[in-house]
Amino acid sequence: MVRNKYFYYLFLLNASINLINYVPRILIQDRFSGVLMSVLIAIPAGAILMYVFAKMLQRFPGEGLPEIFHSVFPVWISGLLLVLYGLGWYFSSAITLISFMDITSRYISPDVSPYIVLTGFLVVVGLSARLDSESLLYALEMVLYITMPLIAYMAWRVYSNPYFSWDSVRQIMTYAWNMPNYRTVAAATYIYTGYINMVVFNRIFRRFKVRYMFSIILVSIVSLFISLFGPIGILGANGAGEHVYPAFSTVDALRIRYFIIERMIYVFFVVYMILSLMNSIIHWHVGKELVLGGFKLEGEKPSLLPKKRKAEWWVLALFAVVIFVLATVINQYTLNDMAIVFLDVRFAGEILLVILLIYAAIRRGRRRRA
Amino acid sequence: MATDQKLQAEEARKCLQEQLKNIGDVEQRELKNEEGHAHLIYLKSMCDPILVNDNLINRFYELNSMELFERFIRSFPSSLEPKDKQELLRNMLRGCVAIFIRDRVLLLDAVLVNAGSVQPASTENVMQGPDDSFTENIEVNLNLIRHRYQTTDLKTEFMTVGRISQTRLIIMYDEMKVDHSVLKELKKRLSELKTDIIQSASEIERHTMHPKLRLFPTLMLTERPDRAVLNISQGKICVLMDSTGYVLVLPAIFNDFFTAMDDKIQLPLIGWFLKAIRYIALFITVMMPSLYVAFTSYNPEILKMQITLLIAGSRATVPYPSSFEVLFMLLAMEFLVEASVRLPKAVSQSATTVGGLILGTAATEAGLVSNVMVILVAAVAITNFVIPITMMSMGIRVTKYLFIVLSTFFGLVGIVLGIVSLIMYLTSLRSFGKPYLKMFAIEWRRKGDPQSG
Repeated sequence: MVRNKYFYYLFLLNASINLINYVPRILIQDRFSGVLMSVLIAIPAGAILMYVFAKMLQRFPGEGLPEIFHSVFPVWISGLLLVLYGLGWYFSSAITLISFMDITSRYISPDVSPYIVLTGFLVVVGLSARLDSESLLYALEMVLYITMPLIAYMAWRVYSNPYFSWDSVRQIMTYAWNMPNYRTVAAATYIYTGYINMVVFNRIFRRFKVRYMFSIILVSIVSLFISLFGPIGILGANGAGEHVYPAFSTVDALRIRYFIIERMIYVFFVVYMILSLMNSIIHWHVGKELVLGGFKLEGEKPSLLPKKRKAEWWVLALFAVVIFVLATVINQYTLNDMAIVFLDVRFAGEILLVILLIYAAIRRGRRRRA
Repeated sequence: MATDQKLQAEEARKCLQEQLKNIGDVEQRELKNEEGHAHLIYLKSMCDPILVNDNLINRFYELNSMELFERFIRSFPSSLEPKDKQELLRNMLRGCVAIFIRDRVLLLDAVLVNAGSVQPASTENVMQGPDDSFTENIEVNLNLIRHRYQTTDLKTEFMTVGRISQTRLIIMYDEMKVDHSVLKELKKRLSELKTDIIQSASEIERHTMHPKLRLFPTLMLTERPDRAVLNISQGKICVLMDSTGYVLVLPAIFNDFFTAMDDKIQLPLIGWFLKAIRYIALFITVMMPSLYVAFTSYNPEILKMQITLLIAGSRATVPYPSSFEVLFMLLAMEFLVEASVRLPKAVSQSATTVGGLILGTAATEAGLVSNVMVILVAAVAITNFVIPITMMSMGIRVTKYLFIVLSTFFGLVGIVLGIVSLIMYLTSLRSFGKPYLKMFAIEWRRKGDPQSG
């Protein structure tokens, strides 16, 4: 049983990982049309989704999505839905891992084969995803306390940089009244999407309740501000669109003068590698639980446990093999397109998930009253 | 009287003589007077001769009445009447005298205790604190703890483990503060223990903890009564064991192994500073060698230009890759440490001097290792000794090699992979159901003192 604070950690993890998952790139591509309006729509939209989701989940204390779906839908519908959601959630980590492999061979070790690096990632992520949910949350807490101060320091260095061009930021502001579009809204709501992890982690929460919505919104505004205007200020309103990983190029422009490490990029790399691995571990864990739940292997029932432990290996091996094959097949362009498709589908899927949960809560409430 | 419950003296004596054949230190005494006779059988090596003489033999001739003598023996709280032969034999092997009077068998505890006096602590030193350490006698240890913790809430439960060694254990805890789920778990695990001989507290650790293959200790061994008392007052459980000078403290979490008793003695701010020093030492001793490999072989551009050139310059004569250099030097250091632990005091001085000189000066002058490497190895060795509990510092000693292997194959990426896996591994461990590594471990200690110990 864990306390409520771990929910905020899950949110914070996803909010900070957006830099790897192509969110800044999609936002910046749209900088001369409706990005500001899209962000303005995305913030309340994401917050409302999160709030409704959390409110609905409170009706199911200690239950994960598999238990909830199996109790209100026929087996084949709930099985299909769970497998689809599990794979979708896993897909997010596929993008994170492959793009991080790419980043590693681009910025850090060009002389190590990217596939060796990816194998290392997959082994660590695969083995860690098997741990129990409680341990993962403790590790997440640890990781966030290590990385968050560094992220805050780097953000401060970006905005206090004398070469930061506030004019570029002001220029983007002038496009505020352009029409928003779905793709950018979907990308911007990625900040909030950490709450989806609760579909599995809800099992171990003691009376889950979401409070401090105001500070969640504040944090998401700050992180969107950083991922959108950081690159624009440093790389220029026009130049920001030229980069595959705008965040990395931005940080690469910074220099630490009084430390044994000179370039900020290495600090940034280490911090984001830890966060990406952590994020992938949690996504694999959730994905694995959902897929297994789809085959009626849910929770910690002692009768199912040996079977589940065995099935787990197969699911995780499959996850690893698929990512490895994907990494050998796709290139920069397809990866970018994949990320866009994922973000679009994810937003629709989230809305559907919330609707399904509302439906389940109503069904459950009616059954209880009857 | 239920004769089938009690042991018949004649039958028991025959059986005993059968069992104790070929045991040289058995002593039998026949006591006779006008009234009747009594028979004593005991192991000479286990029983206190003064006690036997004073309480049994002298008294037998003084009292002059079998009835009175039997009542006198029964008045001892440590006397008992065995129900069967096994009980009789077991107690005799423990140090009881078997007394055959008329048709009864009685047992009287006359165990001879060979305990040294209370010695100052040798493996957990503090600067300005109490200096006693536990002895090898469980009663003395019990006394040391009771003396410092005077309340009736302090419960002591006796147990024996080990099929042959029959080692006595005492589970001690403060009833008001202890976590009862931990206590239950401990008793369950101790009762499941199936080993013939248990001689040291760490064996209990090895046999009761899961998983078997671990790098970090999840039980603490301490030789300091003040640490045991502090931990009991924080709701932990101590397991005292006969014939070792160490006490098990559980559950133990990661942070406990970085706490010395000094932290309590010094002013709070200084205590925090000392703790911070230990965590920095942990970071340095685990990371430094692998960072050196990563920075010299994979990513020399990470460091400032001057530092990179400095390392490259000092490595100019070294004929092999940096990972070998690190491994050679660290292994040499480990040999030195290991040798100086085992050698007699007189020789170990010269061994360390010779080793230090060779490592420090000759190897660099010969160009086999770089100067920077020597500094680094020294730093690693010293920081490793900063960790106050030996079991933990051993675990850390092994961990750094895993990091070196990772950085040899992956460079900086490998180190980050190692950090993530280490955090994952540590958080997945449990000590009697308590999470081993957690950012704020105070939550479950809310009842006791918030400062860890």
